Amino acid sequence: MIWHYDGSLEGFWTLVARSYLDRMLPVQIVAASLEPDLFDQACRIERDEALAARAAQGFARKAGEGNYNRVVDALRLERPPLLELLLFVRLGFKEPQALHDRRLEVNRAVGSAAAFAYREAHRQIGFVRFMQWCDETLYASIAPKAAILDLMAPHFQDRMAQEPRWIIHDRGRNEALVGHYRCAKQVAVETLESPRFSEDEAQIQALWRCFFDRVTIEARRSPKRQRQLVPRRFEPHMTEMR
Amino acid sequence: MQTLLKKLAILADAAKYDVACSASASARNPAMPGVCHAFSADGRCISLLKVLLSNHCLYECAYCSNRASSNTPRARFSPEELAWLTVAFYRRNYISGLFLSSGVFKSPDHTMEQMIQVLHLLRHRYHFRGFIHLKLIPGASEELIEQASLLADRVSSNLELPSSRSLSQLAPQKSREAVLAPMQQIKSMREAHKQAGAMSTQLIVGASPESDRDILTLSERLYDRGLLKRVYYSAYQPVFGAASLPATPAPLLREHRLYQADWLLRFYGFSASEIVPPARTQLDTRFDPKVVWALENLEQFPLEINRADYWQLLRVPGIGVRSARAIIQARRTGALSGENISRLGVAYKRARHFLSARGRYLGDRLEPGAIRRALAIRPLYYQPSLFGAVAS
Repeated sequence: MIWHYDGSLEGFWTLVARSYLDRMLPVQIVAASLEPDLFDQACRIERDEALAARAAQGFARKAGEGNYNRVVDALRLERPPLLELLLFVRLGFKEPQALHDRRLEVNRAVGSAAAFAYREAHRQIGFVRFMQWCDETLYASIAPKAAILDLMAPHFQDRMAQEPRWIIHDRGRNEALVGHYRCAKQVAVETLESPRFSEDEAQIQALWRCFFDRVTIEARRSPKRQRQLVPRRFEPHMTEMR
Repeated sequence: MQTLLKKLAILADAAKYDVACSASASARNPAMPGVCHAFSADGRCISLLKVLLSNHCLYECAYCSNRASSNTPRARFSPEELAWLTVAFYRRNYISGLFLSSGVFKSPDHTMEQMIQVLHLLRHRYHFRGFIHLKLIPGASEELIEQASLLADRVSSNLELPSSRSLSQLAPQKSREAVLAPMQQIKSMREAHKQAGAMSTQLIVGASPESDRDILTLSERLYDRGLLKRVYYSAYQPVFGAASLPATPAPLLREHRLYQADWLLRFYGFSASEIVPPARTQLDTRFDPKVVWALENLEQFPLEINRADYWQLLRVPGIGVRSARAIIQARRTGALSGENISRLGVAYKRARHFLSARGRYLGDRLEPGAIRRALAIRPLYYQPSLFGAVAS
């Protein structure tokens, strides 16, 4: 049986609860709002907030905050290991100690998915480049491989504590983190019309590129190493690599 | 009047050979440490705006491109310019903070005052909360050093050369005492619970005759006496052409081996005399220092992964801080086998020669020659010359 769910966090926890209530396990889980195929043995799991909250809280209590966060982080990926996640959660309910055993395939799959999301957030935190609009707003666009805006939020809330308005725009997911000093909230963004840049923006970008070029020690030049550290997909968003 | 762009080009160029780069979290700036904002074309992490305030210099240090007699182009930022630039970069998330050093102009005290002026503007006019690493100018007064260390997150004072003899030969105006005095002062400030940044230093390797053993013994002493948090090593490169210096560069591999050894000192509980025993003066270039130590102390191996404690595990080549912790965590749920630990982040190809699991040795033969052969790095390919004789 293939299970479909809406791809949301609550949807996933509903799915967990259903697997217990219906005493069934799927062979595959698909996160999409597709209409089930007529010929597929597909079952659509409708989101149920109350059920989801019960499952999520129960898991956090039984398996600990750390494992709960691991599940949440793994679900940030574009294609999370859904079946492994379900098995991971069920193992946690049954035998929470076993979740620390790295010899088990499910633990490794969930662990590495969560680590990927965390690493992506950490990298983006360094690579985000703000540009200043003429109204003093600092604007940055990113295209991360996982939904990590809320993971990045605490860092920038602290760092941008003196900035009246700052925006980090996740172009792929049409979402943005909009900040006002230490406050920030995540909003959906359909289209965004950017106003003109501030007068000294071009000059500051030129200064930064100049610095960036000058810090290279020629005798140690290694473009391959640079490419490993800054994969190509980041380049369009980084002032010095454009 | 030079443009800001021109100044930045000169003063970034002049500062890039200083290797200190990390921005740690501090009380003022609790944000995530270890953020790399960019990677330069030589593959180094850029997290700080690393510049000199001025490259005008009274001193004549042979290894330095900014020495008084060199004909390199000169520039100097005004404190206002540099503070503005730092904030403009910081707001755009290009950098985590500022790394400020300077040539000595007029006098050490005057230079230090100008640098403090930059820090003052940043902290008080711009309310800048980013990281500041300040190079102390040897010979500046104690009051200025105290002021500076209160405004900065980290201050450092470069030893540059591993012995006072080499220092007096290559940098006649600097003395060992003038470099060490601020370290001592900062240490006493910290002991008196004044907020003062941690210290680091830099050593140039290969410009003077000191051996790896001398260098590591010096680093060990500095760490043990609590003077420093970190020593940076920089392989000497003969780009500046002073006559009193060797014409050949120090191999980058030597720098790399020194860093590996430095890590063994700081995180793995090794002592300098274990890494380079009295019989030798240099680190082995073919194998990393831990492998060399393990081969020389093979009687302590193989180590049983299900029983060895944390510090023993750390001494196994291929096992690091993280994987040692992972092994201890994982074996709580049951005895580990060789296959299990290769999944825990252990470099199994290296580690297996020194380990046993459930009593079974995981390597092939516990014998130095065999292990050496197994671990030797073979060149990936051999490029024959079109005309030359075939190498034997």
